[in-house]
Amino acid sequence: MSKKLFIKSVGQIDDELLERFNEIDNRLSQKQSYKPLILKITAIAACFCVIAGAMLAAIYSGNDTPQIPSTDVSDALSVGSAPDTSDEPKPPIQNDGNYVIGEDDSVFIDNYDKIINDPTQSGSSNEPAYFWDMAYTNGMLVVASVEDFMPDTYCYPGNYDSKWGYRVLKLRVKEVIVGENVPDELYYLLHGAREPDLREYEDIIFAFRQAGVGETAIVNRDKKRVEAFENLVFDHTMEGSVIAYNGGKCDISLFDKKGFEGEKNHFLKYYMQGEIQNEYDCPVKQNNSLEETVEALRAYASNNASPYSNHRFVHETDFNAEGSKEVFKYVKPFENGYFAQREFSVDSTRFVRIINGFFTNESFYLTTNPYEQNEDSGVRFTEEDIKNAPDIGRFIANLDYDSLKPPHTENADELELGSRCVMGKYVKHNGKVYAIVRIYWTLLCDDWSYVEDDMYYVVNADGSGTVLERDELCGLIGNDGIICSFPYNERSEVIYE
Amino acid sequence: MNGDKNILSDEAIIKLYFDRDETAISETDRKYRQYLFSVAYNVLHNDADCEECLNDTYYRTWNAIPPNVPKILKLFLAKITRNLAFDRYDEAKRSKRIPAEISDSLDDFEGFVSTGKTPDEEMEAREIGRIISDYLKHTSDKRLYVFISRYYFAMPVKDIASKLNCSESSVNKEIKAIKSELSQKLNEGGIDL
Repeated sequence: MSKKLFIKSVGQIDDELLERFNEIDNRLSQKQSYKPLILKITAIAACFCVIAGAMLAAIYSGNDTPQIPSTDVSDALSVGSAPDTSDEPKPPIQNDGNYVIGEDDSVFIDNYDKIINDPTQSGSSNEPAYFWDMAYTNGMLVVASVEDFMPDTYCYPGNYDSKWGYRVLKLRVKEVIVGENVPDELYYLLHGAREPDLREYEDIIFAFRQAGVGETAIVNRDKKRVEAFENLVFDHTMEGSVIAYNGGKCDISLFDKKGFEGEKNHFLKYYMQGEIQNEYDCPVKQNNSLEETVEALRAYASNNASPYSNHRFVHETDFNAEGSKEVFKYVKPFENGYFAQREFSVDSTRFVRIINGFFTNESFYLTTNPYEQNEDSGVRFTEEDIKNAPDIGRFIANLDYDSLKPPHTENADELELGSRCVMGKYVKHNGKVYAIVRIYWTLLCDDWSYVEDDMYYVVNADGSGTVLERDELCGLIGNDGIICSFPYNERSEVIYE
Repeated sequence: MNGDKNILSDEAIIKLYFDRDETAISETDRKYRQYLFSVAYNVLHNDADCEECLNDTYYRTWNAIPPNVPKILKLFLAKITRNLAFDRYDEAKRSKRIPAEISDSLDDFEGFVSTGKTPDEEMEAREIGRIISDYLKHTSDKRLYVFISRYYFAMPVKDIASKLNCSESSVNKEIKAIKSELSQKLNEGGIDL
């Protein structure tokens, strides 16, 4: 059979198969947490272990306190609280609504999700958004000192089994080299393989490749609860993104520390000691003082190149369309609230506003691909909207999950719980902000098929929730991606691999 | 920036075709241009060829509706574009301008399909298409999705993985399984590889 014949033959397949493909494609394209149910046989024995109870018990216990001295955080969580003007360093905000922010708005509160999403696979979407060589903006470059670091390990939802997790460092910013409106203190996500205690260094240059705040809420893996941080700026610490100084001189003992050793033989040797000359002349030299290095970095960054990198980054300035420039200005860190940078690819990115840790329907898709177009959701959340938005997290936290049954499934009590997840989203439609919570179940039948069910709440200003059916909700918010369309009580095949 | 305001529904667009209102074409272009371009681009990797492909698609659609009433307009258009794109690919191959992706996807079947020619290709294609359809009807959603993405629409593995929210190695595993299973099915159907 020739290749040409094969192509022709494929073109002759039944239309119903293309229709089936189209249905699958539509499902995949919807922005919700529903995923095809794929079980790993080796994990079936563990798959029904529900951790929700443990998590919920921890969430609101309020018994554990962070290492950094805490203040009463209840005001910090309430909408519209007055800004804290005290001189005391602000502690990380503990979210007493122990909800877990999953990808795509979802909250996976069952172990089962570990089976669906394999975080050990490279390229898994459970990886947090990060830059590698694809940074779209200058990011930020600061001189800071490490004031403290959290004792616990953190992760992104769905990544519970990840080998390393992250540590959170609290930084006191001393000087901004690149960036605007950078706060005086930042919480910095450091990869768990790296030594977190960097307090012995007076000054450290940090390069943040993320444009701004990716997520403000991450999971404390040790305490099984979510902690929401103000000004969390994360980074996958790439080579050369942390450089230490003592007494104004470069301190290369950093490169003897756990997790930094690889840089000793590469970044230090080739770039800081200048053993290699290449077109990306690194402005950070070992023999330069801190002051000289800062000036060199400032000059380097002003040429719109990324500082001391051996890779050319895709840069904010690559987005040349007028609309793109406006978007970058609008979503700039600390300017108009928080925006998560989602859906990275080699030539495009999406910014989505997050409020109280949950996604909204305000988004911008920017692309440098000539065959695509920028997209603007057209939605704008005002300061007033953000201030008055009902607290989805607190609502979810107060839900009694065990008492909630899938409301549309016949004989739900007789079926086995496959998975359960809770998700939240702020939707602005026709000038009004709606705080939507969706609960989704999969239930296993005896014949290895499964059914799905869901229910929707609109969270009210007083913290209560009103249950709405899909069509009622659609009447309020339009056909937003949070509303599913799968039919109730229809059985689907469980796929094993 | 562009939004999706005032995009007509498929029913409204089809009605324009039936009314022989030429705005049917501009509305089709407005709604599906990006998608159809990507269908063509995955095969041709050349914007000039893709543009011509799109224009031919609209021309053919104008002539096809009526009397045809597409069940799903997007698929109806994609099928036309896909076939046109492959015809151009064939032409380009003959003049030795071979785009990367479709060659890559067919290379998956290296050792599976020969480079020889057979007579009565149309009839054979229909028969083989029937066997492939039978195979796909009984396969999982994921496998179907991978097969059609890869071999119908010539999507790169990376894009398929991204769409399926899985790793590229997972997609490659599916492709390997498809090769094995389809090979067996075709042998059973008496198709000479």
